[in-house]
Amino acid sequence: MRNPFRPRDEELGRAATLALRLTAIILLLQPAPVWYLRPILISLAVLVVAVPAILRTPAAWGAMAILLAVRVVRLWPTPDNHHYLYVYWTLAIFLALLALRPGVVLGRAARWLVVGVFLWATLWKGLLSPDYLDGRFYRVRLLTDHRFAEATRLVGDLTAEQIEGARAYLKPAPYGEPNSQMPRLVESPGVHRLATFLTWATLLIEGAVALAFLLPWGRHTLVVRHGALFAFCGSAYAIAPVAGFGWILCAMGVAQVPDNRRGLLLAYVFVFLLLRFYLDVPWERFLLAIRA
Amino acid sequence: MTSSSEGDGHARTDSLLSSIPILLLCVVALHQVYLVHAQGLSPWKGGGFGMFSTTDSSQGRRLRVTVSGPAGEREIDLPDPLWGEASLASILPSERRLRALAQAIAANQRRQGSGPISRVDVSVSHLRYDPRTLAPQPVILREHSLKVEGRSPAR
Repeated sequence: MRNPFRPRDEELGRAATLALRLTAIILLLQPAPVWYLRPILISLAVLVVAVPAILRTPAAWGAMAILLAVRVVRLWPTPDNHHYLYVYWTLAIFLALLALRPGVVLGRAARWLVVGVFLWATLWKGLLSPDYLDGRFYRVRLLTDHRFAEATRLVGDLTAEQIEGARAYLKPAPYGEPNSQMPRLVESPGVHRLATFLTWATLLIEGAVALAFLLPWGRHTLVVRHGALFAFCGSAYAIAPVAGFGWILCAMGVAQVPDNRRGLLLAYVFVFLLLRFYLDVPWERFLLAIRA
Repeated sequence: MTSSSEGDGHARTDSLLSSIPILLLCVVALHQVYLVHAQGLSPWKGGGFGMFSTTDSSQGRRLRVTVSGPAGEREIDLPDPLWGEASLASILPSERRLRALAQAIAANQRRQGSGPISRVDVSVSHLRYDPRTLAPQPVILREHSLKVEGRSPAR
């Protein structure tokens, strides 16, 4: 174990260095909502990005892990699941920087975290939830969640008014907004098909990512694991834009790439940026306009 | 120490260091499953990765407050200063949170001079959907009744 305050003098390795930089960028893109944590976290993240010696300092990452844990505890139980993942991941970076082979330790911790996240997500959808496998979750979600509204209009062949009516039916006051008209549920065959597709596609792809990272795949390991993670990030976040989750998955994916695979590292940077585009570019609205 | 045993020691240390984050994740996730089943935590919250798995999300829950007194029982709007506490109680409606909220509501009613009250009832519900028609049906997840005796609410 090394001194947590003294920067390591040897190189971390290209992949681990990129993973750490992306992590600091994520913290800059997702500022903490607690005022007394925000300036310290942003300052640490800026220093990590700007000063290579601080990037390799375990104490800087230990401090970030503690601050992110304080955020989760302070706001508990409201934080989203990826805010917990920020704590585990920055803790993994801190611990890896204390190790003699930081790149190896970080890659291993990243692998198990990806397995853990996707196994628990699959467990909830496949076993623990009472209303997922029968399709109810997505049938309701597609019609009530504003983030899905355009995909629902696009694929489900519904008008904005029909979605509004369905929302009032499924979320009657006081659960939703009061509606002066008698609410009516219009669930087109397209919505039903889309809900069935999303139900099974999500379960299968999340289970596939968990298995890809859990099992050894011999010489196909890189293709299977990173292909599964790219497929998940590239598809799931196009519909459900939770970029903060996708970005941390990218950072954990990068940490598992061998240093000599530059193309794969670049692919992760591309997916990282793609998630930002998903967040900002209303591509479903463009498609709706083209179709109209 | 020989270089071989030194190498084994380093490998063990590395293995331990890389295992700590996933162990922490599993402990938190197991605790979340317990809280969902024992205390009504929304599966979307608590670090168990149950997001996008159920219609019982934190935004879909509703907290209802009624107060009873000589004038009968009436539903009241949540006082503004208690919105934060109410939001937390609807995500995790544990006995402790609901009791604390009911006590705060009783104290608020007294401060506002809204007349004598003998009981505060707090309930948290969510909508359950019919598997075929999606007809929504409110289901009470947890509730707490606080008897208010004299000037200070009974615990």
